[in-house]
Amino acid sequence: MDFYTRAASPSETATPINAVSPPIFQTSVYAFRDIDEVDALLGGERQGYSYTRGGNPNFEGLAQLIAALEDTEAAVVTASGTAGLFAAILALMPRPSRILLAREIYGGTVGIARNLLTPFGYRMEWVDTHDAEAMDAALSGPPAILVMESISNPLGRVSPLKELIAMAHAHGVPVLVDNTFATPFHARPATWGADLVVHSVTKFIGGHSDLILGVVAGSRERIASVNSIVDSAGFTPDPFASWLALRGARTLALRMDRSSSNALQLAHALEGMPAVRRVYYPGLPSHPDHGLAQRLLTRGFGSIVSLSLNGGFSAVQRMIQTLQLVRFVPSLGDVSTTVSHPAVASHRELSPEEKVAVGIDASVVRISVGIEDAGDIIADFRQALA
Amino acid sequence: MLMPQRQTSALHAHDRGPSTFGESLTPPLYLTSSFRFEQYEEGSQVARGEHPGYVYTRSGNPTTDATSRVVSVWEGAASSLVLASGMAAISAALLSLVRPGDEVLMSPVQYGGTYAVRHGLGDAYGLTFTFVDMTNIDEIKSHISSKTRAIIVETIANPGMVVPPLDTIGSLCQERGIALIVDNTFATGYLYRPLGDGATLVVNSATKYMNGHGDTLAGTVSGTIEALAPVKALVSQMGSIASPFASYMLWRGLATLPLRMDAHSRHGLAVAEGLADMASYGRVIYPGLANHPQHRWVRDHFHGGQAGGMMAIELAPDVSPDDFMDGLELFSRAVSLGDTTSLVEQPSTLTHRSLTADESRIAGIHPGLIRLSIGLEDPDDLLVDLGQALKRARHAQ
Repeated sequence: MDFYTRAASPSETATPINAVSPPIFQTSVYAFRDIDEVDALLGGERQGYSYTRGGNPNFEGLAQLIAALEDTEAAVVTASGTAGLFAAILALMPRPSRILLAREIYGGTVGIARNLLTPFGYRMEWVDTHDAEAMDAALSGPPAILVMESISNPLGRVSPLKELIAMAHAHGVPVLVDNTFATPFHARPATWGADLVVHSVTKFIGGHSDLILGVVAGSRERIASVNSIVDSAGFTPDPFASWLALRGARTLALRMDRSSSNALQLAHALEGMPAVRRVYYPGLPSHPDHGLAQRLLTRGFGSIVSLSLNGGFSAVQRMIQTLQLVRFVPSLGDVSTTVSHPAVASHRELSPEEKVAVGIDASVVRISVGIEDAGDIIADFRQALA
Repeated sequence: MLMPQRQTSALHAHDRGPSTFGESLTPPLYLTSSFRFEQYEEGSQVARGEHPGYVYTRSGNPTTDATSRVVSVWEGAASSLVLASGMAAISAALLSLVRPGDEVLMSPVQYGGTYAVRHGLGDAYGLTFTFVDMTNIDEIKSHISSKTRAIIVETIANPGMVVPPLDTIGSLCQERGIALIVDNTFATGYLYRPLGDGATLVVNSATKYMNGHGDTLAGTVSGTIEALAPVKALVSQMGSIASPFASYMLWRGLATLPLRMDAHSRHGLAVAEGLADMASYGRVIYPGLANHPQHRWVRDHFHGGQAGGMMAIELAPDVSPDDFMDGLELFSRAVSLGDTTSLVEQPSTLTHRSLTADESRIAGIHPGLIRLSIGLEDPDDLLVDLGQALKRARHAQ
């Protein structure tokens, strides 16, 4: 064999299947013995992989784990949380309709509805998920999809999800729940009837701020629809990112347990600091949804604490500059504690009026509590707010 | 000024080094063999050690350095090295301390790979190894001669779970001017820090609990800057460095070290207590149990009195080891340890197969001794699995 041919020849080493850690299939495509084999595979008569946009063992490994944690039949991994949200909305409502957005929702979700779907004839409507009468009216209109969060970003609002989902279904409205903040450790919206559950895996599931990934979980039938959108839109994740996310998910329970317990301690401590006007954490008795959160969430109240400062925006800037350990990061879910500023970062998409309506002003700071020693986190905020 | 706890320092150790990582929240993965210089003179200054910086990854890499700072936090060390494997750490630590003709004391209960060093490196370098019961301080003293240069010992010995009194051994070594190398793999610096009790160098197979996810090979050596300098020089010549990618994976694993070690210890204790209730099938050996000979020492010296996730079972003669291992559904039949999932292996046929019959007898290794690495699964689920496998392994005979 020619030297060049030898150098380009496929490896003859068998792929061991008994590795304790799953191999990374960093391959775009798979080779077949004959055309019949590919035909059977693409025709769905045979299990397997042909081209990574259509499927990859690393995506499937992660999807299976998320489905198991979310109590759903299936899941599909996407290139980002936003790609997952977009594909999930399209799968639930493939023709132009109304998109009912919970008043307090991540700005990126608003961006999808406003910038990507409105030009195609979809109509975005804000709904107040805490007002049953208004919800009934909103759900009664023309075809719609309801999009909400199990714990809202950034003010930690918790809606009566079981009742809302039942009400939506009575009106034939499918429900998409973004479970990024709660994670399946604290909430499993599919068990309350949510049609699809979406995550930014980038956050708590990945947990180490070193990948961008999303996931959609639901029934086998629903996920097949999401999958076909993910495949044809090319929302394909990276095998390595999926592998890293699976590795992150192995410690999800340990991390959530520690960070939500840290968050509760921090929230209590912040409530006692004079510079703090208000603390938003569903685990605090002062939070408007504390009772609901106690009823719906398991094992704690999540790792996101928001606060607003008496001194407004200038006090926020001072605090961020004075924090020693806690870094300003426009993301969340890291092993270390980080802060973000929703008005400038996560909720930038909202107009000034929309921000006022949901209660996000320039004095609001969102804290993503990490797994450090709780005393150190509290001490850092104490000195920065002194 | 904040005085952070260890976990807080560890999570932030990578962003406080001489190199700048820009604004990235995580340490960048420097997959580069060499580093470029604006001015040639700058490069030669770095190479001469007159200026901080990097020249070539074999002698230093920013990703590996970021990880080594986290290792130093956990081991309470001034300096640490991250190497290609745990055995790279043991061989570099040992060779940095000895000269031909020196004598080294080691425990007969010791990882099989370390045993192998006696014949491999030991013969080549003209070293003499003597087995000593490390729990018996008088026996150690009686074996110390003018040629004794070092003692190698494991914090929790593999696989017999013997825990030597390292504070006493550390004092003795300091008194006699003997180097003490402690392999801290089963405990990690989270549970116990041998450097605080007089160890000269601490090594870890970071492949195990430190990385914790069963997907990366790495070793660490920690100590004072003076003790590390000869190790660093040796490693640079032997080339047994960790790849920057492995270092990154280790950094990522270390982020959850305390959470994992707490869970491994909690689950380990629950499983050991459950196995102790099934005594007719065999005897469980776990330092967290009150009946373990060194339980009191562990309780007093380990963080929170926690004993980690490693244990051994000495099966009753009527329980078939093969049937027991093959009957387990949640445990993977695999070597290594400290993974998120539970693992089971038989030292006599795998990790300690290099021991002679005589050595095995002294080390207490026989086919009925089974080593368990308890993972992060629910301990009740693990106990159900162990119970059914033990039952079937007895009936199978």
